Amino acid sequence: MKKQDRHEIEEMLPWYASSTLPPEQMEVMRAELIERPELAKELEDWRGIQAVVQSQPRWSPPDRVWQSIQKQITATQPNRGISARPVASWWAGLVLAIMVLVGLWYIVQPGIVLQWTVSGQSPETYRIYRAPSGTADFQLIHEIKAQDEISYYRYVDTLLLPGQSFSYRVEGVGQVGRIAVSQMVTIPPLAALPGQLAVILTSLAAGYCAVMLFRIWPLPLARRWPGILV
Amino acid sequence: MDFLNRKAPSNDYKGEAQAAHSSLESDFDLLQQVAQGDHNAFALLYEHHSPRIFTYLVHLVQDESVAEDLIQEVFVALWTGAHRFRGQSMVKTWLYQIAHHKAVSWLRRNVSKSGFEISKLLSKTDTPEDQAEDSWRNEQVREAVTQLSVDHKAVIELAFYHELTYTEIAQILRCPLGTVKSRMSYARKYLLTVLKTKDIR
Repeated sequence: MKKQDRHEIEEMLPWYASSTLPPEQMEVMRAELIERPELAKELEDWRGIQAVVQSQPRWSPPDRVWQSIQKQITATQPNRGISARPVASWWAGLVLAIMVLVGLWYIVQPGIVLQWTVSGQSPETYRIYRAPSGTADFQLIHEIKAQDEISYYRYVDTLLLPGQSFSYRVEGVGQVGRIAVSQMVTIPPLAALPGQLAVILTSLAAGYCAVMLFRIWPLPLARRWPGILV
Repeated sequence: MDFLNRKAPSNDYKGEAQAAHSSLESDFDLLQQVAQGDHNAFALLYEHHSPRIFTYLVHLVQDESVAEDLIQEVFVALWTGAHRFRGQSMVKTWLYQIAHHKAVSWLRRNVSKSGFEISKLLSKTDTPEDQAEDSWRNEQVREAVTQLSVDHKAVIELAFYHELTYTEIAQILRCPLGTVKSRMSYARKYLLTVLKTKDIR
């Protein structure tokens, strides 16, 4: 058992005297008091003070207090908001954060932006390939159908884990096969991180704000069906 | 002098509270019903907690009529603010917190009205025989307790009369645990000095 210093033990004496320490601390105190008999006098002082404090009479408010309170509360209806249990509001915040994350991810598309223009013969499809940097292990990650009147194309790769560098290649494919191949582009490992972090942190902030708002201004739905929150 | 050895009379708040509330949740549930405007739940909470809160207020402000006004404010605050309770502490602790805040605010506004008659407290329940038995020394200690600053008196009252843990006291007084302990330590030193001055110890 950890040895406690005298000051620490002294500070605990009043609560030892009133038996309001947790059981394990009571045990420690008992042991310390046996080991340090000089503390007995101090404990005696506390017990004396406790006895005098406890000898004060107990009071009960007279009936007129209750009657007056009743009048006041009849005139004032309580704020009917529900105090959501903290866990419920945190779950609500988490759900909102995920929704915001998905929405922002779709709208902002934080990732690697590949863009290219076309002149001359237009292929039917563009195929985008990705490989871990330094390897030739290119995997098809997306296909874009070409359209005659469009010469500018764009693709955003958002499904990236930070910390790995990737190389990209775009192929134009016609009826008879490959028509053109782009240059290989290599992206540094943290290129997409700032955008992704911004979206994630914004989502978390939105979720946290929702938790706070949820507690201050409970939802009308929750007022009507309190059980929905717990 | 052996007055300090006298056995502490037990106060019956603990047993009563345990009988009235089988769990912490019951208070929380009642409070949620209060937030919905349930008068019966409010009456139950008042019935269970008003004696201890009223006693705390009387001991702190040392004036029964003021305590009557303050306890009304406490329970009206509970009625109007029940929805804000987040369950991070016990309802009982929350009520003490409101009561302490109201008492301290009142004392700050009425510092000059600090005169307090101990006999007023004694006359409430003590019979003449009891008073005769109650030693002069105890009155002196009690008077010394009333002379403590509200912060120190609150710690002594909450620890010994209301039998709260130091964590609960820190929540009620909204101060760190270390502050609670140091106030307690100061209160003891002060009381012992006063008693020594009066040649009681």
